[in-house]
Amino acid sequence: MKGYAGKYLKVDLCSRGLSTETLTEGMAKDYIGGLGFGARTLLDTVPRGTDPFSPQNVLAWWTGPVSGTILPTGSKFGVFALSPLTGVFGFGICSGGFANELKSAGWDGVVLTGKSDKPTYLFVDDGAPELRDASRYWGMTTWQTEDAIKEDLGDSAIRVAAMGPAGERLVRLANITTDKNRQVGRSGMGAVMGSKNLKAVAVRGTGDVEVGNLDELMKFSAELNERCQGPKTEKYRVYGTPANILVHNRLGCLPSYNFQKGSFERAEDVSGEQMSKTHVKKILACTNCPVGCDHVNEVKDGPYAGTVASVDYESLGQLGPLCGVGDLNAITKAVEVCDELGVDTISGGVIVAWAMECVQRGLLTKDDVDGIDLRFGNGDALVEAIRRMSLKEGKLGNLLAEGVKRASERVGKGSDKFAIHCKGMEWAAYSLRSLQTSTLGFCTSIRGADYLRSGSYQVDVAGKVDRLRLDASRGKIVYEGENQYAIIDSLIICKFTRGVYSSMNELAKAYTLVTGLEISGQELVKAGERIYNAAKCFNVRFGSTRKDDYPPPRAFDEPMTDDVVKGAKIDRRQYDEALDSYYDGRGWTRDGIPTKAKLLELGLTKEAEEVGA
Amino acid sequence: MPEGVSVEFTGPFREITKTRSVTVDVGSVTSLGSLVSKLSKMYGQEFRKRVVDDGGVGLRADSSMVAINQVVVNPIGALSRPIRSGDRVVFALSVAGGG
Repeated sequence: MKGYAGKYLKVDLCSRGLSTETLTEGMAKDYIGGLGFGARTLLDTVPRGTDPFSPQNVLAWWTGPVSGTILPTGSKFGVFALSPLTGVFGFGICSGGFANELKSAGWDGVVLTGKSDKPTYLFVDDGAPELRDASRYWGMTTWQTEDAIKEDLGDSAIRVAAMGPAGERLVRLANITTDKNRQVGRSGMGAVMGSKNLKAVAVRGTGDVEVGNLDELMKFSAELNERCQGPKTEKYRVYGTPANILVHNRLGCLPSYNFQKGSFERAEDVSGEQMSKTHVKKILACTNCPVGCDHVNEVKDGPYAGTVASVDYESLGQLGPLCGVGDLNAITKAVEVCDELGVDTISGGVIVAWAMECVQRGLLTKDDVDGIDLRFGNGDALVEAIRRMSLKEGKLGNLLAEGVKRASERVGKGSDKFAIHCKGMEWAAYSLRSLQTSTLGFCTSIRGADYLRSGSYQVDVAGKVDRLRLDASRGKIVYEGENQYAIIDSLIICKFTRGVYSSMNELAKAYTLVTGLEISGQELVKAGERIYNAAKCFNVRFGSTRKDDYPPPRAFDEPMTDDVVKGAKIDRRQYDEALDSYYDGRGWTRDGIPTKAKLLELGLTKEAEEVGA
Repeated sequence: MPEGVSVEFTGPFREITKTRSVTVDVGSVTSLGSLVSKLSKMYGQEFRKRVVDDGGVGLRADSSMVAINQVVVNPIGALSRPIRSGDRVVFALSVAGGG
């Protein structure tokens, strides 16, 4: 079995015991890597009733089979745990050089359990991993931690993935940063690190990664590299994802003012076009990526001069229009604060936007928000609120650090009606009511409101369906997208190259050339279905049912007012019909529970017994 | 009511045309195809190549997106879509995904 290292590291932080486990060929073929391995690990190690912040929670780091090879964009890894934000399957997938380094060190992954009694970090130095004291780094930002560990180890080429002060304080939306500008975002994996007193994982790998057919893989990779310079990726290479801003604004699907509206009067000021002219300092590519989508902003003047941050569409949208902020300097600063202190930009923006609406409606007083002028449009207030949230500082910081669901439950007074989340995960920058297939996909997502699990927004934005209504045809669009994305997230490659591969057979070809294991496109699709069902079973173990697959009340109850999409809202009957079609196509009950028959068909025997209907 | 068709450009179209928007007299413009022909005369063949597929009847969906009155046009056979005075047409980069 090539491509894979064939083993992973198990770490018990309580006993400080380290052991080597074998990766079996069965596990490799059934679950591929990345997301698949994460789903299997969580099912096997996290029992029902586990507290996400307890030592019983697991923190699993997995690469994919293509990590460390020359396959374009294969330099990704995922981190998996029971999420402290959602209470269900949590994970983030991240680029950078970390995955390649870990594979070169001879490991497919690292699975940590327990809790260290003091600040610690794991240093995987090729085949000699060890736990080290991290007291010196406690309190440092993510960037400072990375620099300090490299300096102390005397090797600037070492890769470090660290949590920031937010993770140390168990802020539920805390993330993990590597290479300074790449994040394991969403669902609070940094907070799980904090609960384990694990400040960082550092890796030095000097070995080779063997592949199944080097000559053919080189030829295929060269062809893919060529395709990556074509029109399928131009939007990412040249304009970056912020090019979405003006398009979405014109279509009335750019969330603004906490999803009260679908357009923004200052969209031009925060557009990708404007950003390229005034703020983009350079465009970066992740390790092994021929695309290069990462547009790095620099603030040149004003109180935030010198600020540097990578600003993508999601960060821009949720820290900009969603908060009514049209000042690129303040938005860039807010992203920088998120990155350095270690919180998720999407969740951060949604939580602050919710608090701004609470202020707008008089549900939070000046005292409740620590005297900050938390009005929509106030960029300085946005930056300060993000800082306080990341450090759990003051009344406001402690409230927001819990995530929008818990914060709205604490405030009450009907503020839950405009807390925009699903399963406790804050909504990404796609309209609730004017991209309705997207909304269905956000809600069926195993991670909570998530644009990266099915890509179902694409049919809406491209005009392939009527985006202002739902029907029984949408379920198939969503679950087929989920199965395909489960494979992409298991191999793991970048979704921005999804158009570069002509079919699932080409993805299967890449897998076979790397691993030497024969697999067809159809078998790969089946593996995607198995992986998605496995993750769903984990959620069912933690109580997830149909009730958790709905958007927030605003989607149903408040018609949009933008002239472009005036009156748009989701019809509840249509939503139910679409959700039924999704469950039916998945082979699940109408209550959203996988049937025993479906799970047995997928080889999920234990899960059929445990949660199957 | 405004006379003519209001046309807005984003992304690469803004670079080709060097403008954010333009109002085009209806005149001979009756369809998206005739609008594209008129704009190609104004801004050059680079504009046409960016929009029209090799067959000359549909849109180049991998690199462009067109919306008429905020409704995204299906790329297949798009050039025959009727255009009327007062319509708002947006030429944009085909975008999706914001990770």
